[in-house]
Amino acid sequence: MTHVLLFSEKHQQLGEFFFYEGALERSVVTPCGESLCGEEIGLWRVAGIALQKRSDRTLDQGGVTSDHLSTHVSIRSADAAEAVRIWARQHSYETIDIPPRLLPLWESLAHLDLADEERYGSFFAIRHASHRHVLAWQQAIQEVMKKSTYLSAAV
Amino acid sequence: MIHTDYESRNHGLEVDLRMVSCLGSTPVGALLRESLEAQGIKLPAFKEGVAVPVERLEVVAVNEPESDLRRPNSPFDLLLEAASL
Repeated sequence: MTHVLLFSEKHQQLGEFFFYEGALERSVVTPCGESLCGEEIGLWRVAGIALQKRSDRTLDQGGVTSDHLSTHVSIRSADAAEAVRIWARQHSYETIDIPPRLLPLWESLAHLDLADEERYGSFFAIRHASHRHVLAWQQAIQEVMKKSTYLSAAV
Repeated sequence: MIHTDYESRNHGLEVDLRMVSCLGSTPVGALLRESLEAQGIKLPAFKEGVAVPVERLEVVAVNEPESDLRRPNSPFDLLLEAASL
């Protein structure tokens, strides 16, 4: 199972995708994702994932011209995961893959009352961190969760 | 000079922490920063606003001090992780 997070250019979380052997099994869209790209993602089930492709062609009289073609990749295809990543780049969105071992950390981070930038930046850092740094993040998140629970209980 | 992703990542984990310069813009973010720093993790100074975009991050990575050159998710990391379970 591959788990991919989708973010806007401003690092707002737009959704999550779950793939099995490359094929899209399930997608979850946030309210922000719904307004930005929910309709298009909803169409993937019937029309496939729409990608733009550029094809360069040499002209008889010399020179090269570019044709822009639209292709569709089925969500059931083994190429769906890669197609979603390409689709995201073509829309200036960003994706981050979550390895299973980091899933609990992401879930904890997602529950914290952070700004979009903080959440995205923190997970980006965790995703690329060494084991020592991952452990530090783990401890920091646990501490903050405890403090947040204590604070909300006190209010 | 553009370096590969692999080369960039090899040049220090501090680079990836550039993305968290904004950590501290909320009270919860400030707590996270405090806890990480208390554990000896050196974070970039707090700067409000958009973090360094990923593409630029990969390129600037080569200028970082080589304080921790271990490649993230290396076999050594995985071994450590397995040992900690």
